[in-house]
Parts: sequence; C-alpha cells; structure tokens
Amino acid sequence: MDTKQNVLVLFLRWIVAIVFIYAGVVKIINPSSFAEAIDNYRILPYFLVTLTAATLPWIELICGLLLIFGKWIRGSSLILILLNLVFLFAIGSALARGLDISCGCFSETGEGAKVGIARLGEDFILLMATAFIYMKNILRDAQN
Amino acid sequence: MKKFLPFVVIKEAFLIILIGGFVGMAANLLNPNGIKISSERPPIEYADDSVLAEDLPPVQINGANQDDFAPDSETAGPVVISMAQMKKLFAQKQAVLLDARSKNEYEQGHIPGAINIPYESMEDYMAKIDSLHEDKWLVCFCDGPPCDLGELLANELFGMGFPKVAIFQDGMNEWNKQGGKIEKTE
Repeated sequence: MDTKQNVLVLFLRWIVAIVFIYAGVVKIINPSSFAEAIDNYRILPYFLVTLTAATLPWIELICGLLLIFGKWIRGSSLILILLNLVFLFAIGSALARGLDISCGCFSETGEGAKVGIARLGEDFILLMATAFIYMKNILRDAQN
Repeated sequence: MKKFLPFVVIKEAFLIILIGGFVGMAANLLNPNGIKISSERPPIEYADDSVLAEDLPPVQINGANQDDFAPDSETAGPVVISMAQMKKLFAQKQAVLLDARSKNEYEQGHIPGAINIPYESMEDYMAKIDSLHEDKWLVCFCDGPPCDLGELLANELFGMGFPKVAIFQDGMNEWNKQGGKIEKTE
C-alpha cells in the first residue's frame, strides 16, 4: 500500500473507532433506555433485548478501542461490519413497518434520533468505511 | 474464502464478543441502574396520584436532584401517567393533551381537544409551544408502544423548561381500545 492509502485507512479507522466508542459509551451510561430502544423495534424476544442491551455497547466500545490502538483490526472491523448489517436490517424493517420509533443508535433524544432514511444512509457509509478498513488489512496481511 | 476470512480473524472476532459479553454482563450486575436480564417485559410504571395533585409541594422522583437542571419543575423529569390519570387531569382542566404524531395521522383521528405538535417537525410548531401554559400538565402521547414520539416530545418540552410534563405512554392504542371518542379534522 502506498502512503496515501495508508493515511486514508488510518483516518477512516479513527473515525469509525470514535463513532463506535461514542455509541458504546452513550448506551453504557443508560442501559435501560437502550433496552427500550431495542425493544421498540419489536424484532427480538425480550430476553435477547436485555442481553443485547447489556453486552452490545461493550462490544462496540472494545472494537472502537482496538481500532484506535491498531490491535486485532481485522477481528474488530469484521464485528463492526456484521453489526452495521444488523443495524441496516433493523432500521430498514422498522421503516418498512412504519414504526414511529427512535433509532437507539447514539442517544435517546435530540434531533434526528428517529429511524429514517438518513439513519440508513449513515449506517451504509459506516458499513462501507468499515468494509474498506477490513479489506485493506486483509489484503495487506495476505501480501506479507 | 479463506483468503478474505482467515481463521485467525474469526478467532479474534469470537474473543472480542466473548470479552465484550463477559464485561457487559459483569458491568450490568455491578451497575445500580443496570437492566434486569429477563424474558418478561417490565410493566409501565405510572406516577403516583400524589405527584399529579394540584396543591402539593414539588416532589422529587427517584431521588434525582431537580435543582441541577430544572429549578422550577414539579418533578425530576416527565412523569408517566395512565389513561385514567390523563382523563382525570383533562376533565379537571389541569392538562393540555399534546398529540406528537404526524399532522396526517392527527387529522385522520385524534382525541377531542388534543393539540397536534408532531415531534418530527417540532421546530415548525414553536409558536404553539410558546403559547402553552406552564401551570398545566402537558400530556404528551402518540400511538403507544412501540411508538416513542410522545416520550421524545415530553423530554424536549421538559428540557425547554416546562415544569409539569407527563407522558400518556399507552397512547392512542389504549384510547381506541377503551372506546374513547375520536375527532377527525376535515
């Protein structure tokens, strides 16, 4: 990889890391409102809602920290790719069902918190960035 | 496939999930505000009637320190009320009903006397919001779970300094279930 691409991957890695660290911390601070947000999607049975609310924010946080420190980049970006796909599916299905709910992505209140096309777009961009980080690191390691 | 998804990467991902899951469960156990891992959805907790009584001194809910952010408020945040409490407050002319659904949904059928303030386009309704009386309970609602527009609107209004904000969480679904009257806008 040339230097320009290295810088781009590093930049994207930090951006994605900060987004997920922030998302994780916000949810860790208030687990019950995150549980409520997941429950509002009416996708998971309540037991899995509580389990997800307790654990998912920590997985997001750990992945973010690993990306910042450059450890296990491939493993953490793989998880974030899968998470983004799950989020896309959840938001898409909520939109398709016409649910008037908040996203639960970053916080519970505030402008733009509702599920909508904008949230789908954001998730898609995050997915692309994470996939780019993953592929660049996989290809680099395959060359070495 | 092996090239793009090597075993070592799957192992890393698996370990991260394991560690995250373990730390998350442990942190949740230690957190006094943690959630109860359970298959039973907790019931809605309605505010005590005394919170809504007209002449009682301000109360504190859940030990929160109301002085920090809303010195004039009666409660530490929006309170959740039942349909019976909502009807009583409205009948006593102590409440204004705020329908947080879209204009379209409101026009198709709403609680008689309810005012429409769609959460999604709140900024277009600021004049209406400014005209609300601070001495009345502002009862926000939408369809009912899983819709949370009522709760979001309530949080916004409380944040704007309205001291008496309530959420009628069961919303229109409960209103319709109990055969409440519906008004349409022509």
